Amino acid sequence: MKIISVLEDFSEFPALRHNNISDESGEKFYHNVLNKAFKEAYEQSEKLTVDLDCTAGYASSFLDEAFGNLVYDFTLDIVKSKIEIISEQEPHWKEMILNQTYPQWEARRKSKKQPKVTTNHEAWFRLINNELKLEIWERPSAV
Amino acid sequence: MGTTFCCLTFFSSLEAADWIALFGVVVNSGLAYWIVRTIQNKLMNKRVLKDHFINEIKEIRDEYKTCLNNLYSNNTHPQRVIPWFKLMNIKVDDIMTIVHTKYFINKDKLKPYQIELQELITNNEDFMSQYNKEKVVFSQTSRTQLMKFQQSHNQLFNQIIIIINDAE
Repeated sequence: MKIISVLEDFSEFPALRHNNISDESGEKFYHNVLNKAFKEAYEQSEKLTVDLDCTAGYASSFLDEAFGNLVYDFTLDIVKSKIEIISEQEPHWKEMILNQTYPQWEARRKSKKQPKVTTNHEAWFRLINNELKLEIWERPSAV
Repeated sequence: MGTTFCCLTFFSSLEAADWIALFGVVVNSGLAYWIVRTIQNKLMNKRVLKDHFINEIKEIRDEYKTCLNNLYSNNTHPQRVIPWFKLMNIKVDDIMTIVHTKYFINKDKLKPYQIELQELITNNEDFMSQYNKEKVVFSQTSRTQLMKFQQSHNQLFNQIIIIINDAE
């Protein structure tokens, strides 16, 4: 089993949803940490445990963006079967991810409503017809 | 000397039935004293515990109130909001778990403050756009939203206090 911790692998101070409004955003966590870690776990047929505890706290938007993008790129069934979330200190975050983020982003995936990125990212993995593909799937929209 | 003689005369004149009755009186008096003391202590302990939990709930209410007042007066550092909510969430979970066990109060009674209020603030446009600034200044619309939240949920604390106070 592979384990990642937001505190150790990302930041003690997770911030808001997007990179353009806060540095340690859910968008950054997804693109820098979660996408790669999940891809490795998926390839090795392992479970990925994500430990949310011991940081300075979360905004719901941070978690929604990070775990939502994961569902968008890998589908709900695969994410559900491959991921374990630890949130002992604030159990309601785990409930929110399972009961709100997952179904909402699965609906978004099915309706092909692309996730928003606010800065440029290196290529990231997405499961297309059961095959992992590495591409830059979205770019920030010019406003 | 006279009193002692009088008592001796009295006790020596008692028959077996009188001794049994006297013994009964002594035992019953002791029992009554013990029952009254025990009940009194139990009631006292219950009251002390109730007062303690009521104070804890009042403290939590005051902390949320202070937080909201700071937000209304544009006196909040945005990056301190999320850590503050985490501490409050742990504190509230802790007290609600105890009062749930002790007084059967719904554990999720203060969830609106733990989740809705935090979401209301951290998903607010003013908050997000000023997240990297020293202080966040809320528009009148945002303030109205926060006030509406406070008005509709403030009674939750009093409801908890009433349940604790009225508990058997």
